[in-house]
Amino acid sequence: MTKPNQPSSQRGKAGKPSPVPATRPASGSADSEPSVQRNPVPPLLVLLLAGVMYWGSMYVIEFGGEADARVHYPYPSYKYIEGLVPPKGDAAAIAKGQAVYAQICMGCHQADGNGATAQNAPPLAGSEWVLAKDPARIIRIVLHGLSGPIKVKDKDWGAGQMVAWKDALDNEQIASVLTYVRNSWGNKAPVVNAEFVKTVREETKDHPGYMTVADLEKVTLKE
Amino acid sequence: MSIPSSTSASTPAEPAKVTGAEIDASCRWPLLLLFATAALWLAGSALFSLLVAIKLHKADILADCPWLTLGRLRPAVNNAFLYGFATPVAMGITLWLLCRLGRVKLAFQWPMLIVCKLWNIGVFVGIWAILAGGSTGFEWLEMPRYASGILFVAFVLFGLCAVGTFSMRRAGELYPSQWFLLGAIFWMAWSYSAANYLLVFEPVRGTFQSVINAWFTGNLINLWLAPVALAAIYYFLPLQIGQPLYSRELAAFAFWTTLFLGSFAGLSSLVGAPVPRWIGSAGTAGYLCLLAPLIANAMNWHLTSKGNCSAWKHDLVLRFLATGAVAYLALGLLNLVLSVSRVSAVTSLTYAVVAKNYLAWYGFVAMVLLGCVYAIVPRLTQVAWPSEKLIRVHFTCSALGAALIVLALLAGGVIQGFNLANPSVAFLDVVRKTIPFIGISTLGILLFLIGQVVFLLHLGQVLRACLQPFAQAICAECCGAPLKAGGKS
Amino acid sequence: MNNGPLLFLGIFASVATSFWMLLFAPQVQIGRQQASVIELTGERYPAVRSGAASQGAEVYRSLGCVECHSQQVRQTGANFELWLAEPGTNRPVLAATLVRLNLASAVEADKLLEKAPVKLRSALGSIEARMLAAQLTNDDAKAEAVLATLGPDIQRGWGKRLTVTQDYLGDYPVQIGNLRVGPDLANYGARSPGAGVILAHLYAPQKTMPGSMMPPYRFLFTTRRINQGEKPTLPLDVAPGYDVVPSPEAESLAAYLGSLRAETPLPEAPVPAPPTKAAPATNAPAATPAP
Repeated sequence: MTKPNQPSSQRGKAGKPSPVPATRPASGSADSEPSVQRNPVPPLLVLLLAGVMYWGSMYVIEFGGEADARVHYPYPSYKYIEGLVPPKGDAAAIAKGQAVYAQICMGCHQADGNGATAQNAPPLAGSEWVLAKDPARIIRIVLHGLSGPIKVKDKDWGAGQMVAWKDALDNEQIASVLTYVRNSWGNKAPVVNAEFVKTVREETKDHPGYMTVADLEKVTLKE
Repeated sequence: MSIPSSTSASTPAEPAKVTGAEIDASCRWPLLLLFATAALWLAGSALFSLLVAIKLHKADILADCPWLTLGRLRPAVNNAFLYGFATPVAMGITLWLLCRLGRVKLAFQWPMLIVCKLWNIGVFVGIWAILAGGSTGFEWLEMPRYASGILFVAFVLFGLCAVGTFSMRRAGELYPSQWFLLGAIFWMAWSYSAANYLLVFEPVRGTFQSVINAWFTGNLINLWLAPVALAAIYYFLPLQIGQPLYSRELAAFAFWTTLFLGSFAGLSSLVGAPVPRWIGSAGTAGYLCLLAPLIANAMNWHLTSKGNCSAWKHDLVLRFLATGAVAYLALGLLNLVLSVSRVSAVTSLTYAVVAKNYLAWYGFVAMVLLGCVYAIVPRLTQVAWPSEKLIRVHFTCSALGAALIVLALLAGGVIQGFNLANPSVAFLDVVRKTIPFIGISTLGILLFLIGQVVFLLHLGQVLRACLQPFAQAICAECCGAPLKAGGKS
Repeated sequence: MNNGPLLFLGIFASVATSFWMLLFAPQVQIGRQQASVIELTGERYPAVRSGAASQGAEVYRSLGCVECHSQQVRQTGANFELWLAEPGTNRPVLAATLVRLNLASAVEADKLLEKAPVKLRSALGSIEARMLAAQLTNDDAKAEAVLATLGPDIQRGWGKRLTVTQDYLGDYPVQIGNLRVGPDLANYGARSPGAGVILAHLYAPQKTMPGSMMPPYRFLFTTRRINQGEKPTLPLDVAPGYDVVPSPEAESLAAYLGSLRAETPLPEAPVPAPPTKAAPATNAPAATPAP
């Protein structure tokens, strides 16, 4: 075995020794390992670390879209995105609807939406008719009234009659009162659009007299 | 330069001290195999990288061969560099450093030879698959599952060898490099397996894939290749200049901060991307926080090499490492700047991102790993590098080439970004205006390729000189002929 | 720092932190997203790709198109525009209001009303735009504050809004890309000139877009001889007597590119919807009325 760190063959020109490759460590010994001193971390560096971690956190908080999965660059928050789309007026509609309800429906269906047997008014709170995702049936009830027995929440409601409101209320008012009913007293159902009320009104404009449950059940509800 | 010992009394069962030469001899064959195959992959990757650059100038060249179409060639080149060159050399350096710093011989020669063979098979199969059209579509994870599976098994085997070597160490203080190396091994094993599992084996849905991809690409650099390179610098810098490392505490600070904060950084490539905004912001914060270990490392190296600042002029290993260290600092700053959302609005999706990658690969990782190879191979082979001139040529070509590539693509990317941000510039004009910069980077790639070919030939000379006596001995056994006179015995 | 097991525990802690914060949290947020139903149309979004288009996605992945093309539209912001949707019947009053609000000069105001729906002002904030719109709206006349999405991608016509996570739910692999050597393709289907032009571009990109760096994908096509008078398959200038026929891969790739769309308005990504001229009333019979 040749000694370490020496060229194994004379590759230089004749008479000229091969250059010593400049890759040896300074100590020249094959057994040496680097050693390490102990010197404290400068406090400024620790301060810097604290500073960058703080600044980084602030950066994520400010530009992080509130960690909302729906917020993408460049939007700052979901509230901002909601502000870009014209308000569907849920809250406004519900408030308007409450006014209509108080004026017109409360007399029979009561302020708490539980109805009254004396008035033959079935409850609206928790009613499966009200909570159906598609409001097609309840719009018909409000427009044309209801005659005849109806089963609400497993209880039969007798041969009462509900007045038709198609002449007294316009589409906006019907939409808002139904939105109110569908979102009060624990009810949670999608809002009702005035356009949809208009559509239903035109579809049913030739309907004579009151609606009955039989008529309503012919209407297929969309999911 | 004596080895500091922490135990004053020696136990009766203490094993005999192992010499450096014995450690080097035990590492010889696995490491030489790793380095030699890696050098081949590096040269191949540089060659095909040149082809990619030429194709950008003239799209018609070799366009009729589906194996060499641009979209398949570029991922093949990237994977060849990362998994064909960088990772195997990093594995070799890890083992050697753990052996030397643990003062223990490598006990896992056969497993490591299997690792090397498995690894090369895996890389070969993977690149073949990419060129044949089986790419997974994920950045730096394009190898299909059968290839990445082989690589993962090989890496786990390597990890076991490395941890085993570490646990067999002679009692003593741990040197900073050992922390970095252990951290790197665990992080690479974890990142690679998690990323492949969540992207290829049981894919997640939607742009969460992009999040995992970005997390992985960041970890590959920041938590595997960089820590190994840092460990190498921490080892060789004090060794080559003959001075102790300035501060163990600073190194510990850098280690823990890198480990905990480094994995956030990769997400910065998602600023502006179709993922929730907090993810990109977390990435920017990650690179901001990585300033702390960056400064700690810089301080440590600077204070270690105080008074020896011109050592790199004659010490070529140090020259490679110092260039790598400077590139590491530049990379940290560049990454931070590019991740700020105002800058990213201009530079993301442009060649500036490519420039950042090349700075990491060619400027930082390749320079440090090559410097280590230059330091380690003579110890393994007991054969010195025949020609100092070739080392200098390699260095100049690599450094100059890398600098040309990075600067040209960075400038080109910024200009491309400004043009893209200006809707009145037609897209084809944006493309046209990047051509001069791609041209300069092509020159850089050519230079880099020349450097790697020189290195390959030089390494070949050393290996031939190293293997000659063994070959002769085998010949002698076979033929019964006497050994040639004048050769090594 | 000398204890191996303690070191391992520290490393493991760093791995665990990263896992919980960077993998688990996004998984909870976006990894379990489902396709949603668009309220207005009732359709599923993102729509399921046709068979040819999903095969095309595989070709896209296999050829590595993501190396040069991104699939993400970016936005730099949003503001509002003021549009006059309907001029209404009381035009002189409306014209006077326009002049009073500095939206038009006295001379142009009447002409502007004729052109309705017309944009009156851009680059407004939401409150300002809505206030102006409310002032111009009465029983007949209607003015709207319309969202305008900003950004060079939008202005280049690459999309109407930014792309969001929802847009990629149907994709595997998600190829948002990271380099734009070629234009963005997220919304290519909306501006696609048709399969024929796409195929011609794949065959000879330098002819269809001079200056493009895109490599020609001639290996996706075969050339065959045709008789005199037979029409060529693609809108390409090939040598007379020859025809270039796309392979199934090329056709599926063209189908995939034509299916790339990201314009549907989503709750987290609204799309500008300027008012259009109302369609004239038709005499078509209404749908069968329910009782």
